[in-house]
Amino acid sequence: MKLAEALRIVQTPQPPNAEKFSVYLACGIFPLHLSTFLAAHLRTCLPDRTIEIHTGLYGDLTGNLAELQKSSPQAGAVIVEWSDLDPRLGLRRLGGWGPSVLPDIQTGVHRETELLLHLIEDAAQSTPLAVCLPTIPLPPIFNQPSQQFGLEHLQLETTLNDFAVRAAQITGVKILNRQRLDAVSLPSERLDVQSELSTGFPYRTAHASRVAELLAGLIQPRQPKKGLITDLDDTLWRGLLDELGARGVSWELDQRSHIHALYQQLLQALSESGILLGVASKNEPGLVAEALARQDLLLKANRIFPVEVNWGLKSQSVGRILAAWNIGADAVVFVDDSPMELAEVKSIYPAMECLRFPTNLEQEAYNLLRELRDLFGRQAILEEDQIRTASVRSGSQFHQQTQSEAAQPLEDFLGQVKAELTVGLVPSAKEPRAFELVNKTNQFNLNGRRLDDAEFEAALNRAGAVSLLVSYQDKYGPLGRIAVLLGQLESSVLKLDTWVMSCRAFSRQIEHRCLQYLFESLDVSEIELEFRHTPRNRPICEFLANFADTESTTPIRIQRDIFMSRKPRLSHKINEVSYA
Amino acid sequence: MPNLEERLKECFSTTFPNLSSDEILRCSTASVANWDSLATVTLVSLIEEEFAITIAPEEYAYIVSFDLVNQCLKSKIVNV
Repeated sequence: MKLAEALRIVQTPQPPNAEKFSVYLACGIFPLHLSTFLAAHLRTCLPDRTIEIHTGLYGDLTGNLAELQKSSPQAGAVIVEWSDLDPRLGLRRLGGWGPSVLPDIQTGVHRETELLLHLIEDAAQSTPLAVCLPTIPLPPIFNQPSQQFGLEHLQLETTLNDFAVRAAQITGVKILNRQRLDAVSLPSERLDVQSELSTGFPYRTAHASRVAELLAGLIQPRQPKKGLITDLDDTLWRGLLDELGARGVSWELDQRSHIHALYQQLLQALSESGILLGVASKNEPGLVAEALARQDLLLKANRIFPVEVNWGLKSQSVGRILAAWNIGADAVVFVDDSPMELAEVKSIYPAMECLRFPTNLEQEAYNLLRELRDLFGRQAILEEDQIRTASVRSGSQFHQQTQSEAAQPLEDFLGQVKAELTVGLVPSAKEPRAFELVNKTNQFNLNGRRLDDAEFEAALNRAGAVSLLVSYQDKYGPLGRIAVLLGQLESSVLKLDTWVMSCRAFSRQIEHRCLQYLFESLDVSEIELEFRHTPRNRPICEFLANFADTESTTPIRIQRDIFMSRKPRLSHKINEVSYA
Repeated sequence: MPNLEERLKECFSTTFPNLSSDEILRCSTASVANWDSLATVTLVSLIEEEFAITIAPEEYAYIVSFDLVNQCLKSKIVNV
């Protein structure tokens, strides 16, 4: 992004009622264009919010970090340059570059990183932080020729890496990946000596934009994709099954098809971190089954569900996979070697990311693997992620059973499958699954409201706070933690302002059982819901319409006696636990 | 591509979004209240970015009015 563009974005007026998003930019350099770029990139990520960037004093990173903690912004961006660790490592202060000062610089850097670590730890308790390690190369202070890593240089890097490793372990802290920054901003093209000497801003504008863009991505990461649908021939493997047979297709070095093995390896890794994998292929089902059963396939066949193999339109196969997963097209990536198939799927699902597998172009294919990792990048792998494929598969069996035994009421069926809910308080805003559910669920979502760390914590700690984290399992297996409810108890009324439930948990009357549990356990006569229509929350709207008028003004109210008289017979067993 | 003066006006307009097109042509540090050192640095960066040139610290003395910047720029850029 150019500076002119960033300024225009920042200057574009916002509606007066736009919600604020405040960020404290803590650095020791003069932030000049950096704060402009950060505001512009954040505005691009959050077009409906008014971005406020607060900065501190020049040359006082530690003081600014303390100020960050006091001002409690919604996020913090911390930029550490070498000159913040010892002024002699910058250009504006003179203290000597001779060999005699190097041990003292070493000691100073160690001391300063320890201090920064404490300040970051304190600030991260209330504010999520994105931390950028030094981006400006060290000045010419070492006596070795520049192509040689001298001992003193390595020791400084070790101190910095130790600081980064410890900072990365602090909850709420994300470290900007220096390798990623190196890829988009060449180290030799970062420092602007003239600007540093005249204003104290050491970055060239292009570098400032790159740093700000990556920091904005850490502060406001895009939603990771949830599922990947892959083609088979010349994508998952080299060659056409129809021509070569199951033993003829390859993914080996000596067949010059090793890039497909790397693709399989990546898909296996994605699956192990909770990404859903499906296959959409125009092929003979028997041949595909034979090929997927090959023991040397790096992607295990049980990781793929569903496998859609037929001669129909790819978009129809994709549609059936989306239905089985019950997720939106915008959460899915489709990979195929055929531009025509990609275009056909894209025409039906414009929100879907459709990427070409560039057969025979290994460098480009490798770039695709990196891009896929990025699209599915997530903070942590949770228990729910590891059971996702199995639970989608069992969910499909569940729905087949309910449909094939249509004569049997769902209530009886749920009793037979031993449906169980486990409920407990949300222990804190740092509970990663609860936070994830609130911030990524769309369909069964009371009002589309998202909560950042501070807002979540405030919701849990307000007067009369009520929270519920719900897990589900039946004889087909566990679905894990699938629902979160947040509200406030006021005399005999429960006011719910957050209610989300994973789409994997639909059609099990879990939502009915949750309301029944709340009515009974809190002994309330009415539940008031801060319901709002969103473009995607039809499922919760349809559910609520059974008990209240969802077209009237919000909040809507559900009376206990009306709920009890209209709810189905519920046979889920309830277990109460402490998630702490 | 717009001529040099139009491109320069765009740089001024981005730095001082409240000025009208006519006001930009007549503007100077004396007439624009918020033309401070920070605005000068921003303006310089925008001009450097737009015209792919470097403005040396001693040339900052000319960054005091649209007219002077325009003249300075014409002398720096060949074939305009």
